[in-house]
Formats: sequence, structure tokens, C-alpha cells
Amino acid sequence: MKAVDGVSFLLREDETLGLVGESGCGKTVTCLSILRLISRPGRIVGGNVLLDGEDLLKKSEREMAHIRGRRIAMILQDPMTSLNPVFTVGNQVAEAIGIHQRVRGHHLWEKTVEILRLVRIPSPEKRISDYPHQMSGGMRQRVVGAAALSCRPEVLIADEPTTSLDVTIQAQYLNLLKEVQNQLHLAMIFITHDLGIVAKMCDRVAVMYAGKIVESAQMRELFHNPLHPYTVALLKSLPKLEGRQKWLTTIEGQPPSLLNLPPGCSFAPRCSQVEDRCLEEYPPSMIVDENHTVSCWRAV
Amino acid sequence: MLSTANILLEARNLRKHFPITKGFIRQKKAGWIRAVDGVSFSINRGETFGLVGESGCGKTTTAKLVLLLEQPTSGSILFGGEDISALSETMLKQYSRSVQAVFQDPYGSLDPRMKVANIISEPLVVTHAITRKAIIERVKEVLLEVGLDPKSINRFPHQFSGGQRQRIAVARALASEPEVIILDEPVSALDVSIRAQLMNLLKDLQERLGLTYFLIAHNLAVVKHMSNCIGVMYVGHIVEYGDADEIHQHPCHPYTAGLLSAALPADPDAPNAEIILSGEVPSPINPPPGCRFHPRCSHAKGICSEAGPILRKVAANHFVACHFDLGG
Repeated sequence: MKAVDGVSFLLREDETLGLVGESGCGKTVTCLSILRLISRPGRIVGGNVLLDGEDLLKKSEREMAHIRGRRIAMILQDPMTSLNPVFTVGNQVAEAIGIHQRVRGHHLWEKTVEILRLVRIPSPEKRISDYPHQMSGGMRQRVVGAAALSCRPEVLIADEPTTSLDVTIQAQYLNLLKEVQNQLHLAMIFITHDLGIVAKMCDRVAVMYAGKIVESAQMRELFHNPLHPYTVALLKSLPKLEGRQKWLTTIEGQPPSLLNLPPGCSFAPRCSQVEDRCLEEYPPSMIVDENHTVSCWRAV
Repeated sequence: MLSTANILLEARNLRKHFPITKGFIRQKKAGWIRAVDGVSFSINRGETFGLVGESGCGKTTTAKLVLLLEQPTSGSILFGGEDISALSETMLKQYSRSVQAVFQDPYGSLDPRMKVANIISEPLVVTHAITRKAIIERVKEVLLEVGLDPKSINRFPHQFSGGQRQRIAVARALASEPEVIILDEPVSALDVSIRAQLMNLLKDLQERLGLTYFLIAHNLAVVKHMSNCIGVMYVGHIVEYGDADEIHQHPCHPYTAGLLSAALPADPDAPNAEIILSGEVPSPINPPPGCRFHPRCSHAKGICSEAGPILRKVAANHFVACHFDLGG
């Protein structure tokens, strides 16, 4: 099974790249590959991951351990499963700092409090000794953020960090992430399926479908001038807050199973503008302009 | 509250308090969780009422009360003008046949060991005295209705995708020819490209069969798209109630305004007031005195922590529970 197939993108300093797609399209596997956290029997069969020009796939496991957490950190979706329920939150944030920065004792405690303050946890001196179950979902996700940011990474990968949060808490968390990003000059990869979050958070967007990036562009360009039929349909299928529409535009059918992908373009069976060629050959990635690429025969 | 001529389902001052017990052998009541605390609304025949709010605000408990899965602590539910607590046993059976539900998670709501035919026919077997042949006929009919192949009656839920499973759940709700369907977060577990399909299906069914929907969701865009009338719930209370477009254009309660602002439109140029509500939803065990929203409200004054505001009329079809005139 090819979960991710020939995905390329680049991320600049201070920039947020949105990785958009439905469940099972390979967003998370892409990011786990960056950190080389793919567990067996999965493996990375080709490609490279360059961080500042160095290929992470050629590093030893020991070198990788130095990069994970210190240079590239990750926030996962569900804070209830990514935090250990039997340790205090302070313990879990301090663990990351202790490993990477070799601080001990009350220095470690101070650093932990400082990082909890960075993610705006109220009275961090007290909350540091709380267990995850004593905190609300929003606070827990902040703790996860604190652990990820504790070593001031250069790249932060956020994998649907707000999916399990309520809307008003999500708004708080997104604002917090943006502020912290500006403060620390983070480059961020934001995985989401919510185009509203993309519009708020991202500078550039890559749309994934069945393991491949089908379109990537500057955020505004993607919303105003989407070229891939999947992107177009996805944008149209959302109910609007403004005005009233009776019927939503739908994308017929379902995402294909990665086990038997159709020959040719994976989106072809659901595409309203399908041509004969689409069923036979996968379209190459077309460069529309400097920042906009699309994989569709119609754009050729 | 609105025009009374066409009301099918009505809730009057509904309350549900769950006891908190302490101790193991001699259980003592230590307090109450006021999950639903004085909720009133009415749903017109053939229309959709959308209840919005964050998790823990009492939306699902309200739905459970309407479905008779919980007994209300006080207050009443009127169906076609009749109080359901006064109904006879046969009439109650009739009621449960007329009020069906579709739940959020189609992986949890369908029994994995039952065939599609049995899943869909279960409400029929329970409430109708009909022959096996007629049941199979009806199952095939509703499967067609929701856009599934009638030949799939002998398949199991795991053979279907998430979107198809939710269609099976809709088919089950339709089987007993209900008048009201309670939709508890019907699309939030589905993929984005599948959501539009299901929302269109629900609207189409409503139009063809004259169904009345009671929709529960946290996504404001979904609620607005589906509903004629909206109730915004916060810690057991309805804080704003009225016409869907009206509430969206002129939110009068600061919580509604905050919710609207937090609903991110998929448009980078959409005007956004950027009202970020601070703090979190308080616990219904020990809600703040006065207006339950005041600790998070930027407009709060002295009176807000003393007296709880009651719903008052601000426009023909628009009610708000706030001491001040904020929207408009």
C-alpha cells in the first residue's frame, strides 16, 4: 500500500504550510516520515527530507534523536492520548527539556514554568503539578504545545491540533499558536481538513488526495483561483455562513481505498470534468506560476 | 414562542438535573448537575430547529429528554399539542414511532453483528405489528430512499464506508415513518467531501416526506445551512433563540457573537470581528451566579453576576437572554 506517493513541498522560515485532505489521504504519514517515525512494517522507500540542506533520511538514529523535539517538534490531535495520565504535566514538559538541554533541579522547574507561561496556562506555578485529568481539553492541548515548544524548535508540525476542541477554545488555541510562531520564528506545517482553519492560519497550502499532493499554492491564490477539480469541489461543498443556498455542491462517490487505486488520476472516478486521458495516466505536476502547481490534465 | 398554528413539537421549561452521589454503601446526594435548566423551544411542522452550543452545554441531554431516554426533572414536552407525560401506553408507542434519531458516530450507532436488514427493521419490529415480508419490503424502500442499493440488505455495517453507514442510520430512522427526526451531530464524524452529500440527502428527504428535524450541532455553518430556527445553548440555558438568518446577521447575545466569530469561514477575505472569548465553559455542577456567561463576557457589569437574564423579545422572531442591548 502506498500511503504517501511522491509528495514534495518546501517550507520556509516563519511560514505556515497547510496540508489539507480527507482522512486516509496521507497527511499524517507524510509528517511522520519527516520525523522518521514510521513504524514497521511501514517504511520510507524513497525521497529525501532536507532540513537546512541536510538529509534527515541519511542521519543515524542517534542524530535523529537530537533533531526530534529540538529542531522539529510535533503536536498531535488528541491531548488525552498524547499525555501520560500517571505523570504530572510539569513532569512531562520537563522530560523534554531535561533530555535536550541537560538542565536539572530548580532550573528545570523554572524553565518548565516559563514554557507553560508561554502557552498562557494561568498560574503555571500551581498547574505544573496537576495531572492531565485535572485539566480541560484546551489546557491539555496547551500542555502538549508547551512540550513541543520547550526546546525552541525551528519546525513545528501540528497534526489537527484543534479537532478535539470546542470552537471558542479552538479560536483561542489558533491565536496562541500564531503569537508563539511570531515570537519564536517557527516554520509550521499545519495538518487539517478544515478549510476555515487554512484561511486563518496558513501562508501556503498543499491539497492532498489519495497519497499525492494534487495542488499547492499560496493560500489566497488557492481560495480565489483553485485549479484542481478536487479543490474546486471541496471549496464549493462547504455550507456558507453568508447568504442562503438550498443545495450544496457535492463530490459524488467516496475517496478511493489506497489498496486499489484506479489507474490514472486517483480523483478521476469522482471528477465532473473527467476525460479519457485521466483514466489512463496520472497527470504530471504542472507549474502554473512560481508558487502554484497542480496535477491535472485539464491544466496542461 | 413563535406562531403557534403549526407547532409539532414543543418543550416548555424543560429541566434535567442529575444527582451527584457521595459514598459507597450509604449514598448521599452531594449536589446536582444542572444539565438542562429551563429550556423552551418549539418546532414547526416541516421545519428544522437547530440547537448550537459547545460540548457539555446540555444539547444531547435535551435530545434524550425528547426521545424519552431520560425523564425530565420538571417541565413538559408537547407533541402535536399534547403533553407526552400524560399519554397512555399505546399513545406513547405511537410517539416513539413518530420521533426517531440519527446519532453522530455511524461506527458506534450500528451494531456490527447485525445485518443491514435487521438494523433498519428493528424499530419496525418493536413498534409495528407487520409481517416479515412487509418488513423486508419497507427496508428495501428506505434503502432506496437514502440512495443505497436495496440489494445490500444482507451485508454487515463494516462493509460500508462512513458516509454509507450514516445513510443506513438515516434509513433506520426513516423506517417507522416518523414525523420528527432528531439529528445529533449527523455530519461531524464524516469527511468533508461526504458531508455535503449527507446534508443534501437530509434536506431532500425533508422536502419529499415533510419531515421535521431537531438538529444538534456545534458547527454554525452546518446549523445555519440546515435550520429555519436556531437556539443557542450555554450551560443548560438557551441564551438566544429565533430565526436562523436573523440570528446570524444580528447576534444579540455576546456568546452568539463569539461563537459566530469563532466559526472560521473558508474564505481568507471574509470580514471577521475577531471576538475571542476568553476562559472556558463553566461546569454545570457549580455554574456562576446570575448570567452564566458573565465570567467570559466582555460587556459584563455588576448586574450580570447578580441576576440571571430572562429571554426577551428583540425582534419579531428573535429572543435573547441578556441584560443589555448589544446586537442589532
